[in-house]
Amino acid sequence: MNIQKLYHFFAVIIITVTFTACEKDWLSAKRNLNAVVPVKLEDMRAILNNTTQPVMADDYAGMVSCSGAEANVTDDIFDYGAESERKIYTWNKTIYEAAPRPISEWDDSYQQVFNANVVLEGLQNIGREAANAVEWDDVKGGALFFRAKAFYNLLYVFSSPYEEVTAASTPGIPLRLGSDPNVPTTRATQAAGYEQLLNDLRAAIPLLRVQPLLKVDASRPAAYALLARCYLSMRDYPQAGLYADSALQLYPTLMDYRTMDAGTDRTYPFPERNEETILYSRLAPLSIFDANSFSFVVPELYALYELGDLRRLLFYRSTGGFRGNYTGSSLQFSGLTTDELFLIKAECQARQGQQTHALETLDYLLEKRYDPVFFQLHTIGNTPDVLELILQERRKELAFRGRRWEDLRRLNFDPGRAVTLHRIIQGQSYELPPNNSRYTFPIPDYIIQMTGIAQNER
Amino acid sequence: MKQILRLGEGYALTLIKRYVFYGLLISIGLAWLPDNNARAQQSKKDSTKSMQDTVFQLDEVEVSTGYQTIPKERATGSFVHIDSALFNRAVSTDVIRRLKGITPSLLFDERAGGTPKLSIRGISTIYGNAKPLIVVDNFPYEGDLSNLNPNDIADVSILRDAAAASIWGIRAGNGVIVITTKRGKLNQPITVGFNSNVSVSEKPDLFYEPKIASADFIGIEQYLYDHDFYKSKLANTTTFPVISPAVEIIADARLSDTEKQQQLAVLGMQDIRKDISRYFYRGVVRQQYALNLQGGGARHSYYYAADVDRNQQSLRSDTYNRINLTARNQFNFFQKLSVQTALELTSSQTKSDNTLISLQNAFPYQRLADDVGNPLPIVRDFRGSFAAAAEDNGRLNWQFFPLEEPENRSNQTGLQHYRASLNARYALLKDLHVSVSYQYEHQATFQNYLMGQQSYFTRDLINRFTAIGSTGTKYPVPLGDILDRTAGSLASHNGRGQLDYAGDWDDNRSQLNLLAGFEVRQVRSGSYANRYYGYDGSTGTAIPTDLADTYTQYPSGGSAKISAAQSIGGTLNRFRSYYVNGSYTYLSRYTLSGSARMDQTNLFGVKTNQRSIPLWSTGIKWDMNKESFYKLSWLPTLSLRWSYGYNGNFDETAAAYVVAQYVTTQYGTREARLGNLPNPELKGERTAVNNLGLDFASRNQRVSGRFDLYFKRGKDLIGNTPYDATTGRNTFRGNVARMKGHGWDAELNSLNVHSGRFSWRSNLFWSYTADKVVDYRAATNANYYFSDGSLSGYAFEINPLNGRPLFGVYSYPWAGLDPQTGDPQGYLHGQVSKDYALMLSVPAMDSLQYHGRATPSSLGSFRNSLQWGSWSLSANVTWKLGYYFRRAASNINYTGDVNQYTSDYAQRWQQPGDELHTQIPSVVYPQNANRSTFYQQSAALVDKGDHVRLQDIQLSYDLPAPVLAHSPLSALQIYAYASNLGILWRANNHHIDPDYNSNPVLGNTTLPAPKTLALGIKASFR
Repeated sequence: MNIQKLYHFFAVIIITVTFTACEKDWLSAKRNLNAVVPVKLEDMRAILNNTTQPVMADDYAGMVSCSGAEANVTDDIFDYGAESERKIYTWNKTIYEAAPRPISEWDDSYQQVFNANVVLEGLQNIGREAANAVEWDDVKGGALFFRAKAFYNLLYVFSSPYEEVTAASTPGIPLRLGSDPNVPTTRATQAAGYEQLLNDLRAAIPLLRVQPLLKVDASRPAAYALLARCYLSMRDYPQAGLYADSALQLYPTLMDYRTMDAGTDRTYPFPERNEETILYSRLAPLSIFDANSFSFVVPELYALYELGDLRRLLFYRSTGGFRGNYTGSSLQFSGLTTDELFLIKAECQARQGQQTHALETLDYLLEKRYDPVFFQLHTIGNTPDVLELILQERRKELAFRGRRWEDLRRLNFDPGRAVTLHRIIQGQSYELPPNNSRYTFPIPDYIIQMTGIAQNER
Repeated sequence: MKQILRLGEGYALTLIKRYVFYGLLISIGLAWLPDNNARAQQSKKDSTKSMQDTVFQLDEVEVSTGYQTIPKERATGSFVHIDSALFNRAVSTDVIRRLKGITPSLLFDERAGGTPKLSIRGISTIYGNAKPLIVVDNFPYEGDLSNLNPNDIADVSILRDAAAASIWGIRAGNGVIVITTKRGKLNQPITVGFNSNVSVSEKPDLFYEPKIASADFIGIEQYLYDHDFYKSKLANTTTFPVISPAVEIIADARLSDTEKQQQLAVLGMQDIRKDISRYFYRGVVRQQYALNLQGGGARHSYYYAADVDRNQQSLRSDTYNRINLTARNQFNFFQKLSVQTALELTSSQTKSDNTLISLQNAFPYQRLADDVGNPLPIVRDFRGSFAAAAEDNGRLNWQFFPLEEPENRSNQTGLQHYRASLNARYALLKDLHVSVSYQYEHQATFQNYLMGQQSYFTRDLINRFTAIGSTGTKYPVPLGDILDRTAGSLASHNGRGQLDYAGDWDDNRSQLNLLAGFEVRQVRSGSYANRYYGYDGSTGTAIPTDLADTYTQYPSGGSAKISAAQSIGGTLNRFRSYYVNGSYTYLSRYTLSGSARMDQTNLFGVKTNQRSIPLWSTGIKWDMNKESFYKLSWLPTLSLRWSYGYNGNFDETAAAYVVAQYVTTQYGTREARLGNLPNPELKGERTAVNNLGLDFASRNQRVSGRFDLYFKRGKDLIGNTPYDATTGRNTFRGNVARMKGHGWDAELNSLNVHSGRFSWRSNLFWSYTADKVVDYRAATNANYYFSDGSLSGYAFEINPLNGRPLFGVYSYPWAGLDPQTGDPQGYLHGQVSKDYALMLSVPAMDSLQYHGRATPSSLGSFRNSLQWGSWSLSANVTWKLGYYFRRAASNINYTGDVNQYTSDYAQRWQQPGDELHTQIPSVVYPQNANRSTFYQQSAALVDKGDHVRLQDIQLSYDLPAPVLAHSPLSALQIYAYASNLGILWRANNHHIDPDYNSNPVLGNTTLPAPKTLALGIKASFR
């Protein structure tokens, strides 16, 4: 080989290698194809799209589902349960196992909060321009909405039932409003918690799209519906009624059970993300106590479904297992729906003395739930206690959606509506008196150890 | 050659065939031309000598750092050098296993099966990459290490301390293994070398696993049945859960009690392992053929090799075949310029069958075939009667016949790897050279996993989705095979420019070596996976399948989508480094060395100013024996070494910003999963190593040895600390940890007898290492300390404890069994207690008993070699000492899960008095989780891991030179090698081999490597 040519050859190699490697951005190349530092609006949307760890739309409040005593398990099934699950099932004073493991109700809810905060902080560095304004607003509204929903679930599980007079002095939950992990965790008051989430939701309303991209996304009707649910839990009935109505004005669709196939071959008659669903959420379950092939509806609840009530067949198997989940599967549904909104609206109307309107609202729902042969419109005349009727229909309609526990928490304050829950398992009987401190779950021990925040009395 | 051609058909690699043909043709041509003169110069004596053991000439060797080769007498750092003879003492398909038992400081951990985990001088990182860096021919090797053919390796150096390794910068933290391949030499006649061997080993011993006896498990099932445990399962007509054959018999109302007892007694005598061993396993046969051709003239040297490995693995359908082709050339164009080129190709094919994985949950008394060998179904996923009725209900057969699976599935992985390199070195001045090196490495793997329509996986999936309605049967998962294709690729570029100066002055009293260089490196990897439904191999067509909609599942009634089984991934790692390294030797007795290196990487998310990591080292060596005052004539070699410096490491998963990982959701949208909490302070890990060394040799090297003492300080180690989950993450990952370590390595070589034709040599090494984590911020609850992170390697199982080794064995103190009930007992506040909940919840670490390390603190080897004329025999005894392990614990609750039990169940406490001869508690129902957890984590199940084993024996016979004188052979050796010969002594009395601590309860079923015998022949032709 010609020596001169050889030199040229090496010179080219040296120069090429040196120059490619000296390029300024050479070391800024992305390391992993699937990983990014989220900075773009699309990234923020994608963070809200999480359907795993955490599922943004889901409700991490599994503890409440078996606590409401809508179903029982048999003695043999009971032994399958983990120790903490058995303790929750029997309303034990302490519920966490000696061997601690992550408590989803806390950790996963705060993961939702973290995601929302990352989005809210990220948006501050993304310009809102005419071209992206709709999406920018919707993403911000979504982040506010999902943070509020997580706070709501946390207050539901870890703070005592809302009482207006004591809320300002009752411990609520830590309100993390930023992603900085160095900010110490403190427990805000119950009043501050509710105020935060109500403000977030109200701020989200004008930002959100009326029509969500998917039913796992936030939307304006969903924000109204969640406000209605929150105010109901706070027993602020006028506000709850107004927001329920606002949601229904935007999205009033109900499914007509009269046209639904209740055939026994259909294991789960309702499809997921169906027409009644405004936000598709699932209640992260506690293993077997919620799996409907192992638990059976309590006779007292089942007996409420009268002859001609289509829900009796659509919701329950002949064995007594629940199959009416709006998830199309064994997973429990806890999302926001129009039927719940009609029931909130009716209840609030009744509580504000609009008995006739209340019955009209209720019947609009019920005529889609009964065989026409058996259905009769309600009137003041044939209804001795309008509110009682609505609450009973509420219990039947919203069975196994995680709402019962909250209804118990608030209705125990109503004169004459306080109930003591009973349960017998393996020959042992358990009870939970109304307004008991065990209506509030303890904060995970490891959180108490690490942060020093106050534990709930139980 | 026939072998190669037969294999070639399978690979369809015409390229390789051509390469073999032309490569050999060209090299033979080249070889004949210039070498006629050189040939005569080579004496026969030399070539026979090259076959013999040269390990004792320690001081003549040069060690390679990957940047330079250093004569050992001028090395200030701590190196281990394994020469060709020692390396080739063992027989193996891969390179790494040959280092086992002969390499000081190098620990092999094979407990988890698969590729051994290596560590040099213990552990230096917590969550970072813990693997030593493997360098092949001066560049880090990125391909699969099993690509390397041991017959192609010239020698191996291990870099242990900072002076040796810090030239590798941020990748040096775990030590470096530098592998150098063979090259031809200038002015050497053409030689053809041939090596062939066959290894055979027994079937693995499945009965090594302490599984529960069939009859005992039937007893458990009977008990549970009597307690209505199966009531709801038996009544379940929604999901038809699995009911074991024994429970089916027990629950069968049509059978009389006597009939039931008879049938159960038959089951109780069966053990599925007999069938698995009989139908799935076989003896291993490994064949290895290696052919090489080397030589050189005045200006050109060459090395060509072709190697073939054919392995018949222990599972009947598993094979591994490999071809290596190598061409290395050196051209000295003229005095000042020399160019080295290398091209290596590896092609391998792996076939494996996964049927056994689905048998892990099989009931122990099931049979795979009847008495005449007809395949039998075993219960899986659904109740037997449901599966058997599926065909009558319009679905595909839903039974699982394990014996029919291998023929209905095929899982083949092909791998192609090549490495091409060019190195040019030019003498600018007499003592100053400039060199440029470039290496390109490429590896492609391609996996075809075909699950035929008759395979259980495919039938099951089709059946679950099949919708039978009045309008006909619909198959959302189409009929036909399912083909999973997975591909991976890896490409690395390495470029290096380096200036070397090697000069002396003042009448050779001062010697100076300097090198400075610049290096760039890029490693890009990619992967994708795709699945084809309804695949028809004869036409190469698949059926488009709806992956977007949900379908009702049969029989559960739930809804699900058809899995897309698709993925795309890729990584890109870039490094830019600058380095200098130098040593100055005065009067051949004082050597001072130093090295510094700056690494920059594209570590993701790290701020620009933290991408650069500077590391340095320095060292001194003093050859005391060269001093005038040195008078010890019986110890003619005595030198002292000292070095200090920093090696680096990094945890690729840590990031300064919140990093999001993108995936696709079930709704067809993109989701960004957020990673760790933001950590703007993130930086690289550093380990300071302080090494003191002593080298000595007696007259004529009768006794020689080395002793190294070292102290390590790991700084800024990436650690996890449990974190307030309210922040959104329950752990925080950052530079939160420090580690301290120390240890020593001793080597002693002796020539015990040397008289006439007989000699006896001994080689001993002993390495001791200790490490402890210091300043670990958060201690967490006791229960985090029971899993062995050293075994699984899972980050969540690694929970360091302040002041303790990274991997320790902890337990609850054990107070024996309650003589009345057989309950396990522990201590609470010094009192014997059965309050399990309270004992488990005491968070203080002092409630735990610390036994010791989970990984050996000492490892060693004592090798004796006898030589008598042409015969040589050597045996190697190795040991691992100073560690503990936890035995598999049988569940002490009644549960229906067979994998929860071990053979311990038979020894459980059953009546008062049993506590005198057993430590295994009574088994209870209903389940008591705390009681069981306490027992499983108690001291009753902890054993010492110390053991000594006879690693291997090698015997060889070299045909004497006179015999070969008139043949074309210059050397011929016949050898035999036996390995895995068993344990000579062990501290535990449960007959457990701690290197293979099979724990079926934890799903780890690594069986001891069976005894292996290899026979081979090595020859070289002139």
